[in-house]
Amino acid sequence: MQETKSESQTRRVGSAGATAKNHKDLAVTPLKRDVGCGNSLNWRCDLCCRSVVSSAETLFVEAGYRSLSALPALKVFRHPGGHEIAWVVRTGRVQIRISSVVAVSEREKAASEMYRKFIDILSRSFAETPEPLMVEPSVRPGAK
Amino acid sequence: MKHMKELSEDLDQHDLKFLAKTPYVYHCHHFNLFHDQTVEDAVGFERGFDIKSRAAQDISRHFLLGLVRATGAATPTERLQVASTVFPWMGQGRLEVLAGAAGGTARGDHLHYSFAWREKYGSRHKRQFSIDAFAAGFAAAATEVAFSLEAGALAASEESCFVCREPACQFVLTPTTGSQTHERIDRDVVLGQISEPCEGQGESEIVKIAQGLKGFLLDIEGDARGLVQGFGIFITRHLSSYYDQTAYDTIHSIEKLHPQSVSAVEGLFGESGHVCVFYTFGNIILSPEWEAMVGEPKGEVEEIVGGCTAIARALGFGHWSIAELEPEKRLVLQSTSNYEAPFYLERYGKSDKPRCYFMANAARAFMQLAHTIDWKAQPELNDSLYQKLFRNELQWRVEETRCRCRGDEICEVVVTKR
Repeated sequence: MQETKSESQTRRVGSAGATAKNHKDLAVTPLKRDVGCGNSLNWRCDLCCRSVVSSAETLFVEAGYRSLSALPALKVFRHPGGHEIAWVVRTGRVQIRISSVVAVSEREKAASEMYRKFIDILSRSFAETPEPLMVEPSVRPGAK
Repeated sequence: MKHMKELSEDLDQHDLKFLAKTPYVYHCHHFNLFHDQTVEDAVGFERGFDIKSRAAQDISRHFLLGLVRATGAATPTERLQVASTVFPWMGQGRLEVLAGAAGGTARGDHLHYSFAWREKYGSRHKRQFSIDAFAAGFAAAATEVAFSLEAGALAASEESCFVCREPACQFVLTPTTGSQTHERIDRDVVLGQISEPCEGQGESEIVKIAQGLKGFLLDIEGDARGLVQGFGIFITRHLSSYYDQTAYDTIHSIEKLHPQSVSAVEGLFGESGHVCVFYTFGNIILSPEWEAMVGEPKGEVEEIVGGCTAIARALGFGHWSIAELEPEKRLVLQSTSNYEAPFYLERYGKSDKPRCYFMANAARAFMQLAHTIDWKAQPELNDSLYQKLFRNELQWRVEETRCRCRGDEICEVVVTKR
């Protein structure tokens, strides 16, 4: 049977600008600019599931990130390239911080890439669930 | 060698910070650029660079002497190593001193001032003049300390600068005579010029927030370039005496030569308080760190003013407390310790007028932010919003009604609605 367009779209995991959702209420909002007065240095998405934190933390470290979490309520992971992911556990707010080493014109692309990596790690932290991680297309990164 | 964190001291009772007994504070690149630009605007580029680099050299010398004593660095190589280690810890970038007892050169990469200027203005403006006066003075001081030269033995100039689109910053250090130097202003001196802390409104919550932030700030690391990025700003752990000496030397110079311009220059140094509160405090309140520690801001006046007071303490600005707060009407902020009055009293003696320009205008900015920003909407704190709030729509006036510089017991600023 041919897949409907919506079924084939929902199978794409980790697409930049997509909202990831699974039956267990894991949802990640699209990437957008966050507050912070640097030029395109701070980006934001929001995560609606808290249960993945400890497993995701292990995966971040295995992927080469350094855990810089100084506060229990805030997880901060530094990518080898200097970018950071700051995750407020209680509220699900995620800030992707692009290193100012990156040229201004490349920062949105770098943020999209980090967003993809973040979704990938979240997806793998749910590797044990029988249901696949579902993704819905949404606005592209950079939209406010 | 001891890590700089181990040498950092927080005087919690007074909310002041010291590194090897030298007072330091946290300030962002917006404030740093604004402050240095004010010196330059007041007295011109050449005189301005001179004021700034000499202040940097004078203060850095005392700082580095304390640091080499604390770390046991004895040889010139060890002492230069201390200087090149503390410089990035301060968020100032990377500085390599290639000088000896007879002077020489220094090279700076990703220096805070020039890098931040390019980041903030580079896409719209070109700058003709070098900007790293602090690094110039620091390099001279590092060489003097390394080779046990007399204070003021070297003069520093910046021959090429990243801000002018050169690949890196280059400094030349040459022997000189006749430089004016000053006595050290350290922890003991500061303690002699402050009084017992007073308590204000909302104290328990303010203390709790300030303590949480202090620990977090001390742990913030710089990157491989020697820059410290946090809260969407470039942070420095800067020598507060540098701000004081440059500001007061500039104001005194104007008082002598152009007295009709004094209030304009004082106004500009005061405006640095607006700049700091808007960009630094504002971005801290909107940050994930704040959300994790305190919660999402609701936008209530007491919440924002209390939060700002806690931030001021955490940044090492001193023990500021809320004596009175009436939303829509009035704020009275008091301080038994800040980083302006002790310096002024020690360096210049009693003044016939108040001298806490930064604190007074920071208090005004607290009220402007608390009453005009829609915190729940998480607005971008950018230049156009700053201009709107602080140039076009400023609703508050401020007066420093009591000042320790004038002999009063405390410093007190009163902010009222226009």
